[in-house]
Amino acid sequence: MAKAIVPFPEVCTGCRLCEMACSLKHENVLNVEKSRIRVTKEGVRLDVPIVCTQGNACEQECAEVCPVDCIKVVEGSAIEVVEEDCTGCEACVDACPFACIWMKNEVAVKCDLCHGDPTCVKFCPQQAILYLEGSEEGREEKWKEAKALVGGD
Amino acid sequence: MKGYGGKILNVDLSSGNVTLEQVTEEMARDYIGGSGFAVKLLIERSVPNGDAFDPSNPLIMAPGLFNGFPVPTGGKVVFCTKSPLTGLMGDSVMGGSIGGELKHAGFDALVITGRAANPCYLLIKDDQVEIRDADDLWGLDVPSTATKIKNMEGNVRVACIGPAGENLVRFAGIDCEDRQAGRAGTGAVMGSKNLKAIVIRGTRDLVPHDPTAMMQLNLEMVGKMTESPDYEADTKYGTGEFLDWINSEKGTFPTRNWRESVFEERKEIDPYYWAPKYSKKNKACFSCSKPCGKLFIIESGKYAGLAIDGVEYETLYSLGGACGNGDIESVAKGNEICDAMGMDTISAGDVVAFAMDLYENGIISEEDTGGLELGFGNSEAELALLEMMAKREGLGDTLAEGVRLAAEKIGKGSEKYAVHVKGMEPPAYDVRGIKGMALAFMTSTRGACHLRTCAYALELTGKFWKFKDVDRFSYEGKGTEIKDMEDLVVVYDALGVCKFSRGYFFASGFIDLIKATTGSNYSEEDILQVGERINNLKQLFVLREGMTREDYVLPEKVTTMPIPKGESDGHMITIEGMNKMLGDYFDARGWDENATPTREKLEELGL
Repeated sequence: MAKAIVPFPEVCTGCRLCEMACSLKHENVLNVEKSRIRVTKEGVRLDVPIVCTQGNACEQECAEVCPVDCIKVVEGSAIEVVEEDCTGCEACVDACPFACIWMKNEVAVKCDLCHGDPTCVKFCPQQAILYLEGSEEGREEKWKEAKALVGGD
Repeated sequence: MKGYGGKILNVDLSSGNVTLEQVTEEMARDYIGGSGFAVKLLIERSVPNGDAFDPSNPLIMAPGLFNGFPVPTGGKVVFCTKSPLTGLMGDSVMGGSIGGELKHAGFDALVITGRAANPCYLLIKDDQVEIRDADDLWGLDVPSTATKIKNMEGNVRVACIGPAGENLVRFAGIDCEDRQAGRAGTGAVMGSKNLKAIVIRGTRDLVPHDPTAMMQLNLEMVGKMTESPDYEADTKYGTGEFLDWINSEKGTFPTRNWRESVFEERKEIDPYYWAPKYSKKNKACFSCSKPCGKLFIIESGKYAGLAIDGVEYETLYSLGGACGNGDIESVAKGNEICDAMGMDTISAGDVVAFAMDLYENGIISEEDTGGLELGFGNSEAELALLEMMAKREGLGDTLAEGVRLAAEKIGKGSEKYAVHVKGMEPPAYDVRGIKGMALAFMTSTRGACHLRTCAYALELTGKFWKFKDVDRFSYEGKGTEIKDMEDLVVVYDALGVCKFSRGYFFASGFIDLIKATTGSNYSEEDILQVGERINNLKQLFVLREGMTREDYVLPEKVTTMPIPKGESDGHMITIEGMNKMLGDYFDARGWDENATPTREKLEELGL
């Protein structure tokens, strides 16, 4: 399993610099709608970063269901979409238990960990997202905790 | 234009007409954005000498230039109108995320005029602009309003008023997601327009001139802030971090309606006491790397279940020290009431403190208060009176006018207990021991204000920016100091940068960031000249609205009652000292002795 971005919602302040940094890095614009990491804010209590677990807390459902096998799981790196091969069927979008893959210009997009140097993590001022070995004992609970906070099952 | 939304949105609530216009390159160059745009639009669009509650009074919302960009602490948006509290400039700056949302919808300013026939809310979803019925929202508090609108409209930002704004409480504010445009009564103007909420969803790209520099400069700034030795304490304790220093070491924490300036019962309201006990985590505005907000939760006891973003320094003063209340849980409860009702915590607390002073001096009695024993330190009476003010019940109806008008109504010598400048109740700095701040209170176009100069930090530490060896007890050199600080910090309001990070940018720190955002080249002098231009335009507005030299005056307590104890013992502002500082200030500004900008000054600034 790869290193991954681990969320720590208990210290997330809701500043959303991670989302801004992500859209700037990948799209050269500012638009949190286009970010691959998302912060859910609800009332005064909740600020929760939601981001792809890279298989650490899921069954890589996106890759499993892809009918053309364009979502690649490579040991030691991020789960990535081979965009040229994507047919835009949206099966992965429906399958992801964390809602961390979606469509852009009819192609699936997701967090690619900035190829091993995630920009969002560098911007986070409060260490609410860290780039860590996701497979370490108990760490998968962090993603599940984040998901539970925002009302996922 | 890179870095901008590009358009101004005009909404007339009387006719329902919606029009768009382009932001011109000239306007962007000369005023940058935020408060620059807001002040320019206010002076152009308002009817001279109109009442603040007249439908013609525009309510303007203008995001700072950096709103929407990852500039640390760059999420501030200005709300601007003629103030019902002062009759002068009513500009109030809000954090949170709604400024960026408006820019993402494509707008650098929203100008609302007129008055709707029935309660309404304004919905802006990118191109879609609608005025919608708000009959079933009228009367709801702030959290209920936001929840109900979000249930109807989905993922939107809601800037709304509570009952205080509806009831035209003259210091009602506007709230969005636990952040407020608190001061000067912008919420009451919204209420006068029958406008319950401004609801925004923006999904368009914002395109920086230089994405690479945008990334690099801001990443460096995040690092600079988080690696600063002050960062941990600044974020753990928030804006109240220096409360005890201002109180005990400087003797300038106004207490019991400015009777004293050392609050001996301060222990619990000091964040070093309460943050470890009640703060569950830090809270930040959009794009802020220096979170001053605290998720403050009370788990048991009388106020169990309370959860707010607070308590800020100014509120620890106004609902705490000013009212002689050293009980942090009731201060937090007062904060919750003000936020839910939509009232400025500073003015609201000051008004309660004024009423407590009148009660203790026998000017009002339990007959007037509806049975409340309104002595200093009675926290239950304080909370009850806050509710009465928001609802304009009993004595609360008079007090909802602010201390200046309330004192006129009550009479019986109550004026000398009314602490205000130009009708604005003061923030948490006893200016008797901070002479430069006394001048700043007088020169501010919205009355007693700490954020039009931030000179308290400079005066209390003796150094900031280009200034050093400043003596807070001296009347010398204050004219230039305050003029220069005003011109610097108004740039923060144009760019949308928070003054909690003022120690990181100054004017020179904005040169590269502006270039990366818009592509425009400004020198440090150019940036400060934009600041000077905005401040002169603010002055032209308040002069047009009838402010005169006679309004440059400090409260009677400040000029006649020396501070009775502590580190500023014996200090007050003499009339001679006041006039000397004002004379120096008018000279530094290039204004005549009646505070009017000279023709040469206006021509120099292109006004």
